[in-house]
Amino acid sequence: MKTGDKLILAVAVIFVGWLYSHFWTDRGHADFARITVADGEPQLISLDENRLLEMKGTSGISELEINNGRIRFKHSPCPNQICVHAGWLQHGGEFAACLPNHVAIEIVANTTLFDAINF
Amino acid sequence: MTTITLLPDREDTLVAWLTAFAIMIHVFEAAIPSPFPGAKPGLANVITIATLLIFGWRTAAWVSLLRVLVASLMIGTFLSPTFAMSLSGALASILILGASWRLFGHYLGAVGYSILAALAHMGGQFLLAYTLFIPNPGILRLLPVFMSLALVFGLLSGIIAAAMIKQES
Repeated sequence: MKTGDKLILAVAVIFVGWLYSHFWTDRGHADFARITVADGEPQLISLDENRLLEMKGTSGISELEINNGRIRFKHSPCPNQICVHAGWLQHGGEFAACLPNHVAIEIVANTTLFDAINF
Repeated sequence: MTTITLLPDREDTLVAWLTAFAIMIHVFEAAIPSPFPGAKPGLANVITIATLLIFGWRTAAWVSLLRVLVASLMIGTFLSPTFAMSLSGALASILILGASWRLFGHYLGAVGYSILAALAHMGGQFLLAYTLFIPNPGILRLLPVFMSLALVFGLLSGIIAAAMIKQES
């Protein structure tokens, strides 16, 4: 093996290692949730800290739980509980809303799960 | 009536022989199931590398591209997605080989060229798969695994090619 070959081999190994670090680390991890209540301004809530939030909507209190960089509707005073069944949101662009209570949450992150959403 | 006679010159015969070797390996390899779906050792590249080092880049390009064309006709994948993948890989690797041949010449041996060719081959295939067949970022998650396989198989092919042309490996 010539010196050049060893050099190429070394560079190739480093390159493949870089590929693992680049493509296998989860960079879609969310940083913030944008919470919109009724007609109010959307507010950005950090997902770093585990806690429970109580958002007062138009028909009661929606309880939001933040855990491990994820967020979900824990309780909501709505009949269908669609927001609660949406489960945990953790990737950029994920969205859940409680329409009867006028509460919506959306994950804000550098990389988004979707390019665009069409309703 | 005029008859056109094409006389094969020495290089034509050479390319034909080398390509025949490569086709044989390619077809044989296509018949063997691979433990990794979608990844083959690519032993036919041994011929390309050996050709590059003995006869130069032009001949190697002929051998590589003709091999992909004729082997696809023999296996029955001509103009199918398999063929497109095979061709994009061969094009990428022959381009990289051309560039590095100009740049490094004989500073590199069979192993170096083989690794470069194998990585470029896989890169070209991923580029095509990503742009044409599966334009989903999810497929890029497979890239590290396939590149690792390409590196290992490239190294092995390089060692085989070095042994074949009696170059110290």
